[in-house]
Amino acid sequence: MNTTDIAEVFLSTNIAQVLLVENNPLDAGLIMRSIKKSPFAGTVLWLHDGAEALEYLRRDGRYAGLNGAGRALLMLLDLRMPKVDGLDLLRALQSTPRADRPAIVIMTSAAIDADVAAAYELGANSVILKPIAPAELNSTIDDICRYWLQHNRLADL
Amino acid sequence: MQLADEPSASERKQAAQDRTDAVRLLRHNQQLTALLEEFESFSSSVAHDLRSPLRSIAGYAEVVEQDYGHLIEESGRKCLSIIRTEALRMGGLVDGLVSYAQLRKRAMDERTVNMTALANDVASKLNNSGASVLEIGELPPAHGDTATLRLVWEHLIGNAIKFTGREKSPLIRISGSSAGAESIYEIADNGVGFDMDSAGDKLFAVFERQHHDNEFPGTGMGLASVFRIVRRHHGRVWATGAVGQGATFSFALPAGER
Repeated sequence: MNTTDIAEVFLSTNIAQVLLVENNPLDAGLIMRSIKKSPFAGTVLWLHDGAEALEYLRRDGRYAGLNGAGRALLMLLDLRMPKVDGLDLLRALQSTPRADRPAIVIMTSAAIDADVAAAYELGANSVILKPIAPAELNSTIDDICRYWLQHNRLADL
Repeated sequence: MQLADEPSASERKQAAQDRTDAVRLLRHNQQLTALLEEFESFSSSVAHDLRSPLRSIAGYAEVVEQDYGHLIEESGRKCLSIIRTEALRMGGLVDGLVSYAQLRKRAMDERTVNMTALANDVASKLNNSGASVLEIGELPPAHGDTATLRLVWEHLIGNAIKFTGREKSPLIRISGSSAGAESIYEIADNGVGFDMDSAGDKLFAVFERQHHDNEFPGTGMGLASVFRIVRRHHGRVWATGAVGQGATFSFALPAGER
């Protein structure tokens, strides 16, 4: 589970289908493992917090060199993160045209009603409670990837 | 001279005392409500914070089992599986605690509920393997919140299926009757039953279990949730049973319109 390898593969090919925005490295490891096992998913890039996700989406900072070819289809977004948290990121993305964004699926440990409502208000496409059981996590990730990567259609850029 | 309808000094004093008492009672009531809300948000946030490390424990135990299992002896793999299943068991407890804590906050949309349809729907979903025989009679309508009453049936029918799981011919009978302003429902099974003396008042308490986990797994939240939901509906719930002779759970709710 070498995550830096994954990031490098992505940077060299410039294609990441899934962006994982997650500050907890243990959760990130398990989720990436599930994504890699899923027959529906392709490349995944782990962004360690909301600030890095913003950099990526705006082709800023360490992602300044990327051209537009690498469009992400799906973002799995944690809510509780230091500095720029999930809701902050959604807020920052409000100025981005919706059609330019990946589908955003919130994956949270704590489905607190107020947060769920705020996430939808700010344009999240879906909210999922992170399962505890490994098998359930795998099947949840499978379902998410199947739906958002296979069935869902994004607007053409 | 004092007029007859004018309160005496002692009556005035009493009235002032009553007002003070009422204010004090109101204040206590407010404090109690605030404390309860604080406790509920505390328990739900603690429970949420527990989920993340539990996911890591269960998840990484499985990673080791899958990726390095071939390097570990049988007894070691058994230990890993214990770590994983125990973390999951605790996860079940935590999730149960969260949904129990959230019950009070749920808005109730009270209307006439078709209990026959609701019980049948829950039963067909829970008994999709068809292992148990479920007989559901005509049930009188209740007045209540469909979403939470569905939870009552899920817990009670789920329990009946679980505790008849070892019977040769598991049988669960659901029936109902009307008694004045109340509708009464009964779910009787021929499962392992329970000891009424030792269960006593604890049957409907949080985390209380009548069976060992290796016999019948559970979180000790089901009947506590049932009790809480029925009480919110101003209803009653009770149970009878004997070891080896099945159990009967009954609950009464305000009757719905026919």
